[in-house]
Formats: sequence, C-alpha cells, structure tokens
Amino acid sequence: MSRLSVNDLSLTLQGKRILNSVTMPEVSGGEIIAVIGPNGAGKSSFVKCLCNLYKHTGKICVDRTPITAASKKSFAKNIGYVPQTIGAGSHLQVSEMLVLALKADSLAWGVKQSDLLKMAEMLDRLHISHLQNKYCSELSGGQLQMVSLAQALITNPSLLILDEPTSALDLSNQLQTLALVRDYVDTPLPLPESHTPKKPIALVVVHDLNLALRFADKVMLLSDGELASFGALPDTLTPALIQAHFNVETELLYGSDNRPSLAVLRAI
Amino acid sequence: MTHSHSPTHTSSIDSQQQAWLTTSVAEYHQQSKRRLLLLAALTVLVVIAFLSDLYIGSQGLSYETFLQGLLHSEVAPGEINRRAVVIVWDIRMPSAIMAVLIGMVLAVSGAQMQTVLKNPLADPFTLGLSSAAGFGAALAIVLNKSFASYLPIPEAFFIPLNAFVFSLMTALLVSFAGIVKRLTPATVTLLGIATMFGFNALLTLVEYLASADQLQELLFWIMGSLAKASWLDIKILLVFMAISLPLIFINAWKLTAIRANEELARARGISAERIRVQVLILVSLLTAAAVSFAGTIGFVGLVAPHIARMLVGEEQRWFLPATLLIGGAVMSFTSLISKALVPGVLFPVGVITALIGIPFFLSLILSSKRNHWS
Repeated sequence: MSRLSVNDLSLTLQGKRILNSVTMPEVSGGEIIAVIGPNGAGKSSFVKCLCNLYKHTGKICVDRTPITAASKKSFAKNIGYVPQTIGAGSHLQVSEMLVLALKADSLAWGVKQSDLLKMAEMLDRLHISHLQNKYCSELSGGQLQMVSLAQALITNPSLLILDEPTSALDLSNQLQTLALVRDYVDTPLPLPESHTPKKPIALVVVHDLNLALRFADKVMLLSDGELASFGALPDTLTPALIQAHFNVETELLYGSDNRPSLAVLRAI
Repeated sequence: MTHSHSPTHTSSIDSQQQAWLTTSVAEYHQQSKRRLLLLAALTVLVVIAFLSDLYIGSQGLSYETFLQGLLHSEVAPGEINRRAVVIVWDIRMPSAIMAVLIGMVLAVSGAQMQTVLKNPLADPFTLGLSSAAGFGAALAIVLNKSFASYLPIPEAFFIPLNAFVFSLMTALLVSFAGIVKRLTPATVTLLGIATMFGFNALLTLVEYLASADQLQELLFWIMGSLAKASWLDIKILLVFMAISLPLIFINAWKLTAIRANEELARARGISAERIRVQVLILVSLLTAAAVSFAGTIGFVGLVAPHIARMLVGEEQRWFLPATLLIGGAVMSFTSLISKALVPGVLFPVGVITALIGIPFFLSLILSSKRNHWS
C-alpha cells in the first residue's frame, strides 16, 4: 500500500454519532501518522473503522481506488492491528500466538517451517525470545503488548494500525516500541510480485504528544468525532491548537538535539 | 527523523542469530512432539478404560473366558464359547462403545460451547439442552406424546426422538435469538440458563402428573444410562459425529483466533458471528443426539475441556483431539465404576460423573493459578 486516504467517514453506534464526516488526506508509504485527541474524540473508533470492525459510511481509498465489498478481504489481509485491550485471552503460548497470526484464516492444519522461522525471527527482533514457551496468562501487561505487536508485524502488513501500543509500557519500552515501528515503515516490504518496493504506512493512536512529536511524520487531531487538524509535524502541533482541544497550556521546548518537545504548564 | 537501520525485512542474518532461530524453531517442534506423545498416551488410556469397562459386568467372566468371547477364539476345534461371545459382544459391547462415544460428543460439545461463547461454564447442561431433552423424554414417557408417533420409525425411538427434537429446537432457538438480537456471548449464555430453569420447571410439572412406574422410568432416563444402548444407536451417533466433527475440525485455526481475541480475528476478516452460529448448531446436533440416547449425563461436557486445556493449551489442533480423548476416557471409566461400585448393581452414570467429577474438578481448578478467562 503506497497511498491511503479516507473520505467522509461517519460512524453511528446505538443512535449516537461517534464520527462525523472525517476525512484523512492522502498519506504515503514510509509515514507514521499519529492519531491524537482528547478522551472520547473517536480515535479508537476511527482506526476500528479502518479495520472494518464497525459498519460505517464513507470511503477508504488505497492507491486512489476505493475499497469495495469485493476488495474488503484483501485489504483486511494487509492490515496489522494491535488493539487497545489485549488481555490474556485464551490459554495459548507466545509461540502459538505468533503462529496463529500467520494461520488465523487458514483451513490447513499444518504449520510450515517457513512460518516457524518467521515466528523465531519476530521473537528475536522484539527481544522476547525468552517468552516463547510462556502462556499468555503468565505475562505482564507490557509483555502482552509486545506479543500483540509481534502478532501484528509477523504478517508484514502494509498498513500497521496501533491503538495505544505504549499504554502498558515503561519509558524505555515505549521508545523502543515506537523506534521499531519507525524502522518498520522505513524499510520497503519484501513483495515478490511488485517491482517497485513499497514502504508500509503506520497509524498510531497515542496519548503522549511527545511520543507523537518524536516518532510521527504527520498528526491527525480528532476532537468530538471530527477532524480538527491534519498536517506535518512538528509545525501542526502548536500550543494554540493544543490549548483549544486539550484544555492545557503548553510550551514547545527545543532540546540539545534541536528536537521539539512539549512541556505542559497548566490545565485551563 | 534519525533512526538506526537494522535489517528488518532482509533475510541476511548473522550466524549467531541464525543459531538462535534454529533453537527457537527446534523448541517449537519439541513442544509439538511432547503434545503428540500426550495424545498417544490419552489414546492408550481410552483403550484401557474401554477394555476394563468391557471386562467388568454382572456376569462375572474369568479373564480367559472374557478373551475367548472378545476374540471369538476356538475353545475346541471348530467350536467357540458362545455364552462368552454373547455376553461380550451383544450385551456389554454396545454400552461400552456408547460410553466412549457419548463421552467424546459431550466433551467436544462443551469445549466448543465454551470456546465460541467465551464462557468457562458453558456446556450442554447450562445452556438448557439437557433440560429440554429431559422434558421431551418426560412428555413421551408420562403423557405418551412423541414426535415419533407421526413418523414411520421403530418403537425404540419413541422417547429418544422426542428428546432430540426438544433439545435441538432449544439449541436453535437460543442460537437464532443470539443472531437476530445480535447478543453478546454472555447474553446467549444467560438465555441458555433461563431456558434451563424453564424446562426444569416444566419437567417437575410433568413429574407431578406421572404414575409411580412412569416416574421410575423417567428418573432412570434423567439420571443418564448407557444400559439401553444398541448397535443401531451407535450407528446413528456415529453418523452425527461424521457430519459434525469434520466441520468443527476444519475451523480449528479460526476458532483458536476467535477465542484468543475476537476483535483481532474480525479485523483479519474472519466472520466470528457466522462461525459462532455454525459451531453452535453443529454441537447442538451432537448434544441432542447424545442426550436422546443416554439421558442427561452432566459434567463430562464441563470437566473434559478444562482438563484438556490444562494439558495442551487452547490451540484447537491439540485442544480438540485432547478433549475428545479425555471425554471418552472419563465416560468409559465412569461406566466401569457404575458397575464395579456395588457388584450386581448398576448405578446411573450421570450420578457417578457428578460424584466423582466434582471433587476431581475442584482440586484441579483450585490448584491452578492461571486465569485465562479474564
């Protein structure tokens, strides 16, 4: 997927308007888009609509072609999704969770050697090889989040959707996780059938605006179910915009590496 | 943005890493091998249970006579021990086979109800299927009314058919209410529990109207029994299994995915609702067939899946066969105990499953620290 855009997306759940005609301008492969907004703004709902978890109106376009009922399934296959609530779920080991991610919609019982190699590589890449034989119910929240990310990455998705992937992680793991996402979207996907290597796109719902500033290329600010702002970082995320939607006074500071970060001064 | 560039998608990995990967893959294979061995051990257990069940009976046979009967072996040239053959093959064999099959069917039904409804308490009992079957049987026994009267089928099916129809109708009703009203798994379970209480009340009403003889027969049916099993019953049950089990087995990965995280499964394009309904209908067919032949035998459907889960986890490729085997073994041993407890007296198996199953089950769940239903 080299280009993705969303047009006029609306969602109503149980008579309540959750998203109102949200449009996301075209984003390209190699970009991380931070989806931000106050609580209840519709961030999670928006990414869930992309994952086809809710019945919504509006158009999602991949490479300028709208997704139809027929192309829905192949679009779903290209998505790597890390949901907000993970939970221990069922009685499965970490290795089984990863193999499951590769086999989920398969009817054949067998697991190929290549699938197992992918599993091993992914465990190694996320530094969770030591968890391979642990049952998910034995893992901490942060470890579960890493497993969930591994499940999403293992299929080499061209659209990575992460719903608050760092909520259960400590500072170092937050940075590592987003660096991993950064690295993932910067590397072209190994697609044998296409001649021009395509880079993946990542949509990341985050609460921490500093993480957005540090890792994302563009920001999408949702407020009250509507698109409040969309644009490149760091320029789009001005203290005035933040004050208008988050009700806090902030100041942009520049560190020794000349990168901006936000200092929250007070709530209004 | 600055960032380190590690070989994310490339396959060029250094030798140390390669060694790591090989270890990891080998560990997975090792795990699979262990589980395969466990399944083999469970199969042996089923065979032992089955043979012991066959060996024990009111007509005490010596070990030698038992083998003569089982193997049709010649006691003298051209002569076989006809009495032993009749006892082993005609009297004991049908109920011994039935024990294994009923155990398997109830266990796999319970397992899949727990899987698709995401509820550790779901089983044929708690979803009202057994109570519905009980009520259907009661109508046939006490009021002499059965769907079988309208069909050209043998007299022997007068009670089972009624039980089957009531059980299946209940299952379909609960499933379809779930679809039409778009109910969550928890609500479907509650609906099943409400149905169970409803049918239990109706059953009590019919019992109130019954004569002493009818009550005795009904009680025997409700408590579960394998004594009346015939070869025809076995064939019918096998047909049900041959239709339902492959359709459940083929969805092994999807079921694993739905149970692991339904949202994730749906995002992958798996239609969780469709699979849920499909599996509920299949296990309803299985349960209805099982209870209509053997009466309401509780607990196997609840206990066997939990034991299987503790032994092999919940990847359905292991979980399904393990559940089947454990169900078969548990039921077979229960049948054996029901005969051996007091020689000459046949206790209802349904009572034995509960009496033996409950302490065993409690010790299992209380000793397990893992909670995977949150």
